[in-house]
Amino acid sequence: MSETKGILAEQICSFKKKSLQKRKARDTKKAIASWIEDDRLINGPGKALVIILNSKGCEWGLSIDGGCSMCGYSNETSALEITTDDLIIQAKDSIEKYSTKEFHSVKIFNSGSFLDTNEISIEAQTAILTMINKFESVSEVIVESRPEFVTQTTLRKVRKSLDKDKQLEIGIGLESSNDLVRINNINKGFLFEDYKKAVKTALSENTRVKTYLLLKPPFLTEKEAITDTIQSAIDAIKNGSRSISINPLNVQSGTFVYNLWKNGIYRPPWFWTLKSVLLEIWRQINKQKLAEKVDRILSDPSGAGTSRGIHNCFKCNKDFNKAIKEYSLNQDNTILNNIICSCQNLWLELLRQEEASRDYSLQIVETPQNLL
Amino acid sequence: MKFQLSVSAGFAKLAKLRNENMFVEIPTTMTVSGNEDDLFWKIGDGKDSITMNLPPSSLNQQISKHGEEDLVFIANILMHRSLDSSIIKKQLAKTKAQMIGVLEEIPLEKATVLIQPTDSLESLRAVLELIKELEIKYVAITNFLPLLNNQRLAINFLAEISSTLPIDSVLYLLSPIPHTYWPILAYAGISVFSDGFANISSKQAFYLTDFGGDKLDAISEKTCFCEACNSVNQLSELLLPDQKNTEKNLLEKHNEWIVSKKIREIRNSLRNQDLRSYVEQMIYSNVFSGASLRLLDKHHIVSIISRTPTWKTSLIKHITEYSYYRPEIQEFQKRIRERYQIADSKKIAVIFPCSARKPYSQSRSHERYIQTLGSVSNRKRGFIQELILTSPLGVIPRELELVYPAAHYDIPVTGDWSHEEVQIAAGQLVNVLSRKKSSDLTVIAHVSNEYIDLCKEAERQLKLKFKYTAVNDKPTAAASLSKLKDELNSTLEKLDITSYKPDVELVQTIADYQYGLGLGKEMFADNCKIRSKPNQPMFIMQDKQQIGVIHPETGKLNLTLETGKILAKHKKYFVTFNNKELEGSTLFSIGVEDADLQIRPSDSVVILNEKNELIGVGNAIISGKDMVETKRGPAVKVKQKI
Repeated sequence: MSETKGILAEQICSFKKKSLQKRKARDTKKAIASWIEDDRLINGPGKALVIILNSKGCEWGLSIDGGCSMCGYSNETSALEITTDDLIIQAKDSIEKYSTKEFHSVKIFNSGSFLDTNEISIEAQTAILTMINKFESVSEVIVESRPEFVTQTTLRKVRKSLDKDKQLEIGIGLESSNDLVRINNINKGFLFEDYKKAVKTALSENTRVKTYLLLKPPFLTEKEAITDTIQSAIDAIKNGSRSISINPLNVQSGTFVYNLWKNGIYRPPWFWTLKSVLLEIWRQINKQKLAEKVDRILSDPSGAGTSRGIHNCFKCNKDFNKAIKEYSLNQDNTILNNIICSCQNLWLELLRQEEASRDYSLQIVETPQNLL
Repeated sequence: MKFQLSVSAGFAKLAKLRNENMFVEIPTTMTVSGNEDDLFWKIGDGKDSITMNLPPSSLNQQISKHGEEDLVFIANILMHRSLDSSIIKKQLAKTKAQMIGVLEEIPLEKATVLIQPTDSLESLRAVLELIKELEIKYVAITNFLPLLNNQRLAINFLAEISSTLPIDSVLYLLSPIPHTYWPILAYAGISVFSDGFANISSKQAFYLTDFGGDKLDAISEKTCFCEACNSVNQLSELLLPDQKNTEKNLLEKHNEWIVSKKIREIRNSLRNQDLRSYVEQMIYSNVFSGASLRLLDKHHIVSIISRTPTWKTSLIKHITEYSYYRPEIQEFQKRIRERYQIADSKKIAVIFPCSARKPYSQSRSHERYIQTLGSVSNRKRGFIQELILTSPLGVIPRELELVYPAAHYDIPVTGDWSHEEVQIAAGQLVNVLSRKKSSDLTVIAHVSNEYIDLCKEAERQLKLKFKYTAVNDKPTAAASLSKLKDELNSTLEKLDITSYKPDVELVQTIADYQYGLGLGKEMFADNCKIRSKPNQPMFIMQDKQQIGVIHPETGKLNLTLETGKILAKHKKYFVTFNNKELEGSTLFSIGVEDADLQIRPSDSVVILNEKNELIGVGNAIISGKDMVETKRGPAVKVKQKI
């Protein structure tokens, strides 16, 4: 398969265009947000400084015929032009704000690709990393990029701004290792081949890769979603990605998926689904003797426990959300195995019914009292 | 697999899906069966079953695993709600090519296609055209649950499918819909229902009942005596595992029981030719059913009527306000408006109230009315037209009192007519009286109480004065009957004489009702006579030859080769056979070249050859439209041939 234009591409674009028109003009000199959070480092729990830069946004998301079915991050970027100086000031202010606090890793997110020089100029990229490099306590820096921007030229320049012992990790949104799913269900615009090439380039420049996987793209059944993410994680690990981050789909306003959700034909995944994915990935890692190639299997769901994010029933949402956080931090399955709720049987029955009926609207029967 | 129709009732049908040595009767249920990685559908709620594989994805279409299943999915059409019609259209072209390819491997008789609700009617039509073009008979529907909150879309969707696809198509609903929605959905054309909701609700400790369900712990007293419920003292014990079947608990067994009861009730009501009454009975279980029935009655009645038998014997109970708009009632009213006209020779119309006993003339009150009419001179009796006023049918000329459903309905009589009833009946009365050719009609209203308001309303609309003859609101009292007699005589006095041939009038009026205004006169001459015994078929004789039969149970007139000539001449109620000679007693759809689209099941029809010559008469089994569009199954039961 060489076609990278998905079946739904035109409509995904038209939804996206409508919501892009509603973008707000933000102060170009201010980062969108920054905070310190608990995080799983390569060697154990620690603290991370997270900075969300206000940039022009994802090149694919803003292009005329691009954009992903679930992504509304472009809506949060700036409608105004952002200069190299703006970006440097955003990062500088955020870092200074937390300079007295202790943190061990820095994550820079920019609702796009950090390595895209049209979005973050090479001057801004190196300046920001140089600032971070001054912190001795920081052992890891994490940025995000689409695979097409992971080039030797850019990486060499970027890598030079960081000391050798500081780990650089690039988060790549592979979403799924299945080209059909990535192209048609998501409209991601690149192939597994492209991802593999990017990983290879990164590894050769002393850079690690974290692979983001999308749990339950639209038009997959819950069961297919489970299989797809497990397979994708194993594929990513085998190709050299030492970190995996599983992102259960959360419904973002103005997106293609939002419209499906509003029409009742998309339900975000169950916590039980995430649990079974995580446990099965670890089982496969052990079975296929891949443990040496893995740093961490993470999940930090957005909107967890709400109707637009990953959720179970109202009785166990909170417990599960807490358990997933704890699991990610400690990379310990025990906590996941300890959760019990009667909705597990319902989930199992719905998996079966959905697989047989291909009905994506089964969330309606989760509250039978509304129908009877 | 063979499709064998037993009876059609609007969009619903009772039929058998038959394989070599077994059959499944539809409507029925389907169950998800098998192990986690080897699921399949089991169709049928009796001892025999049919299997079906799982549908593929709509987006990354790959034909799913299949083996020896009786039904196999060849496509899942990408047509979800919120998708642009341009995408649906583009993808449909690709899917079509794929389906044609798949059909080379999978026999057409197994081919099943999955569709889903869409916002674009244009897209739905394109999809249905493709299904028709490829002659796919099994159509499954999914993603239907959100439509339970959107009756308009639900009914437009189902009615479009049911009215477009030929009668031998079978609709499967894969979405796990609660059993209380099944009657109305069956009425809208669904033949096979997933029973998944029973299991899903069991997993949430929901206890289903005939009209709904509730949390098990909210139910205070046992009302069910199924095997599962009988085996426990407290309802809470239903959550314990079943001793015989460790995989299921007793609640699941109870819920399955409730659901299987529902499908049997639907089949039984179809067998009794009265699904409609069952649907009306179930309407109170949810608002979807009520709203959907209204929408069907209002917007899709033409297609429903075309597949509803014209002649039935089942009693219609008019209990709810929904009953006013039953297809039989709407069709009767329409035929009175279009196919009945007070003969020009009539100078007096006498309006009588209806009676509980049917036919009216056998009731005590009507016996008296008829006696009074008989007391006028026989040479003037022919000037009088009797009309019976009733709800919800409106106006029934005496000649049509035997005809279904005039003699087949029952309504709670309280003396109070609702505004709606008055409007319907007055409208019919105004229509009938205003279409009389010459305006020299004297209208005598021999009615009382609530009927007077109705007549006043008609007077107002017609700008005409009626003469009222019921004294003290008692039409059967001697004083009233004598006043009627006086009023009749005072009008008749001024008139000359005329002939009175009740048999001819009866036969011609029924023929008009059946085939169209004016055809009765052509089919039956003024010298025909009825020869009959009570409750026996009425033979229509002309010159000592039998030229027709009227069935007392339905009021239906059966054609003979003699009367069929007239229909052949006008090309009405015809079925054109594409071969020269009729063989056997059944004409199959495959042999039908053309047919009158007015034909409904049970209509008496003429069979023509390709030169439009009469070659036989018979009874339609399916509608004229279905005969033309279907290639499977019988079309006409042949009664006489040349």
